[in-house]
Amino acid sequence: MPVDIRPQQVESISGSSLTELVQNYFMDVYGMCFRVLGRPQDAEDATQETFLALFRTREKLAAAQSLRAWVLTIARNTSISMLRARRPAASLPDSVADAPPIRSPGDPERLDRAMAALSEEDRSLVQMRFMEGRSPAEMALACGRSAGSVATALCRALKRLRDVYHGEAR
Amino acid sequence: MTHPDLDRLTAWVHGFLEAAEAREADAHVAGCAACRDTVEGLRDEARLLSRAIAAPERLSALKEGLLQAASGKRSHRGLLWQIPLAAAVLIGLVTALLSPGSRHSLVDGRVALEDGRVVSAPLDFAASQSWQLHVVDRASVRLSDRSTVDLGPGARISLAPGGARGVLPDLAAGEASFSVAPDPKRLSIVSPAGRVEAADGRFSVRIVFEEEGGVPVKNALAGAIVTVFAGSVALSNANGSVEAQPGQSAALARAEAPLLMTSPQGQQEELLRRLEQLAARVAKLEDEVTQLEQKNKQLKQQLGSNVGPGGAVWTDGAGQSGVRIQTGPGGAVAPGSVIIIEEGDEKKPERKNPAPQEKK
Repeated sequence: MPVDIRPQQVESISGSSLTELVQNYFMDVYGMCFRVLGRPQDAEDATQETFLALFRTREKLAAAQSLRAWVLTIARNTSISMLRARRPAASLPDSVADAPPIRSPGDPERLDRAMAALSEEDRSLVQMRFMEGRSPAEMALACGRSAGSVATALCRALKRLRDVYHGEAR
Repeated sequence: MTHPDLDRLTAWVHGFLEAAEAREADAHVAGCAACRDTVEGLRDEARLLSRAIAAPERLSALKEGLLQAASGKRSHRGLLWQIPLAAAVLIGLVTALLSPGSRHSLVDGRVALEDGRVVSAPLDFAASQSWQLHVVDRASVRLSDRSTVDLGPGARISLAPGGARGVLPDLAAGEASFSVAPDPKRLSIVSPAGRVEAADGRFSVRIVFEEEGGVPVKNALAGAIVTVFAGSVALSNANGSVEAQPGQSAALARAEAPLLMTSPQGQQEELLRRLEQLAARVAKLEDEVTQLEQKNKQLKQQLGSNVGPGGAVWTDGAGQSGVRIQTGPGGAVAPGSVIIIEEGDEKKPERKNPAPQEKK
């Protein structure tokens, strides 16, 4: 027997699903925003904007075929429009030979700028490893490449990050 | 001795080297102070990057603000304004929000850590960091989400922050039995050939290598066998996914979709069931035989003692028996003739005295 759902019930259902939306996708959205924008604080802004946009268009959420894909599309679009409005990222300076690892305490702003200077692909690897804590096998699975080639790419991304970070200090 | 370059040490620290290369690096780093220093720098860098990319305090405050906005408790505007205040208030909740449990515990056994140190239970590990454990003989670890992992000798497992439950076990070698603490969120376990996920239940994961002379050749050739004892377990990789139920086993291989195997455990149970049925039938038959034997004996005794006017049952003590019939005068059988019926192969009455035909 079909269940009759009144508009009021729909409202209350989406109320609880909005909380779930934040619970389930917060880190995914932040990760996407970070990948596009590079600066953690910009990514936080974009995360907030994304969820507020999702709250505003809640009726579209129910219609979305894949909720996650929809949420990430909004996150990506929000981030890209913020990226366009933002000043351009620093261009990569000349490579520093054998730049050492970045040690703590580090300079947070310089690190932010260095991360913003990476390509989205590089950042995605850095994010998978350092934010999501994914293992080599998982990263290989996510990237559809062998663990060896992911390792090479991650090393290259880290090298570029160190280059920019240390290069800026000169 | 040549030092591994920075890339190689980076790959080693992050667990990307294959077994043989990793052992080589282990050995070198153990004996080289300069490389140890670089490795320490790389670990420091990893921690720094983790915090810089996703600052737990800031993110948990932002998330809390969004949750309140979602439930209508707070205006949508100016969430970020409140971050510093919220951060101060929520600082105690940080670990709860971003990493559900704060510690893993080695409750039994001994394990070697990434740097070669061997540690014994009881010992706690901070769940905010990644750990590579190499089991010395056997070990049991309680994860931050209260699930338990029993690890077989030689098992290699890494515990990294991540996944829905805040901990992402990655089994690289050996065998592990998981007892998953019930929770709506699934515990994800990573293996070289795919992912194993369960919300509760018990199952074992065994990493198998395509072997050459008993030595694991390459991680790329590894697969995993998962056997489920309780609960329902999802196996997935890039090629597909499958759900395994208690009593079932499934295989994860890199280039294939996960495959349910005809369960050896199920087969054993079926075999046992059939053996029991067979045993019951044999027992029943034995009973019947015993009963028949007793009945036979009783009958023999009855007949043996029952010597009537017409005849008698005889036995010779050597297993031969028969019925002796003596007919009276005027019968079809001539008086005085004897018919002996013997138990024989042919079950045909043997006539010892063919007198009846001869009418007098």
